[in-house]
Amino acid sequence: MESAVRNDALQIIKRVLEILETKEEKDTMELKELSNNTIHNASIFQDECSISIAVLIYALSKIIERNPELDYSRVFNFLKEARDSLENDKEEEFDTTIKKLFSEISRLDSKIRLYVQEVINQAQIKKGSKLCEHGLSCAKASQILGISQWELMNYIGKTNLAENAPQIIDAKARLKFARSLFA
Amino acid sequence: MKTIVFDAGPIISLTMNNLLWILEPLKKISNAEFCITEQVKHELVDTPLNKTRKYMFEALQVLHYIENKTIEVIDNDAVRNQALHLLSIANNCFNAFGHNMQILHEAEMSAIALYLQKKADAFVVDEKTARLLMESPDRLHSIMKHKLHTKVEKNKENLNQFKKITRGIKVIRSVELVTLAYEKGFLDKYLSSMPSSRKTLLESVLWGVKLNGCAVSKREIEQIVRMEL
Repeated sequence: MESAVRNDALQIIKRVLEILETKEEKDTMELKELSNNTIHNASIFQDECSISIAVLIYALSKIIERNPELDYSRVFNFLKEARDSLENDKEEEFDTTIKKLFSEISRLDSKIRLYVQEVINQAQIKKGSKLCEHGLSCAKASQILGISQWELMNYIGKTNLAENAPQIIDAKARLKFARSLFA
Repeated sequence: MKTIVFDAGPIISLTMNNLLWILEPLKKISNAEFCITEQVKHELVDTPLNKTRKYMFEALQVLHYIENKTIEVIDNDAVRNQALHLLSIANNCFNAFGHNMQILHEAEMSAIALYLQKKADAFVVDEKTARLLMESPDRLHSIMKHKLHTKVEKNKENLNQFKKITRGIKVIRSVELVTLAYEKGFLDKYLSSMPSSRKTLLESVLWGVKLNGCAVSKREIEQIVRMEL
């Protein structure tokens, strides 16, 4: 693991622990912001750690937003374990803990398991669109997040990503060329 | 015979709008072959059918047009090798924190490799990264710097090499395909008795592909509508 990635991941997990320590209304907003910061590293390094943390924190923020009364103590403990593994440079232990965290999030409430899986999937799509915003192609972002391009394109179309894209060739010129192909 | 190479994006945009069928009449009037690579087919068909449950029916629709030869899948060593070569150049054009940014996927590069091999007439691609890297890498660099809030260095040698190889590639998007389908009257069966039905029809398909991932801005859609009506 790159040291820059490890240091950032450590700072982020410590911040998540601070946020979760006291339940407040602003928690979900703060978690989403943190997740966005992590995705910067994911765009550059495309490492599993940054990607998993970004998806995990975003999913956690959505779950807390919709189920504020659930007990997150086990999630909190696993996060502490993840922090300790990073601090002690135990990468394998860290990877295992992250996997446990995903399982724990999925198990938070058996009644909402399907919903939680959906939240994780939505988090992957959301983070994929962020990667595209940072300049990665849709296919590359889908590959990194392990989702299909169908899912990502469908989501990206509803964002303002295309509005900010520079128009290098005028629509009129492109259409004129297209007409010449299908004359 | 003309050759038009497709990336996965435009096929996805068209399928999501139940407009994949327009490829058949477009192919007929242009006497062109519509090609995709095996890697693009993998993204379109194999991933939804074998890996995820989502978009399986859409994948089957694409498969239908592959099996009826509207879309031809081409796979050969030369394309695969050239795709890997292009990928290694494209993914070494920008560097942040001493790390080369992997911005493109093998499937997109295979489509470009196929275009070059077939000396194709057009490349249909909906998403902006591959298009910008070919048409204006400096703008892509600006976007990356701005969005990542960090210093992104350019590898000028690789950028120039990519530009040299891809020079002359003509790009269109699904938005141009649906506009042509409208112009040719293929969509007339959807005209209604409501006022301004032509305008509504055109806007519906343009917005349809935009909302399913075609990188076209609202301003461009308005420009196309003004030109067409």
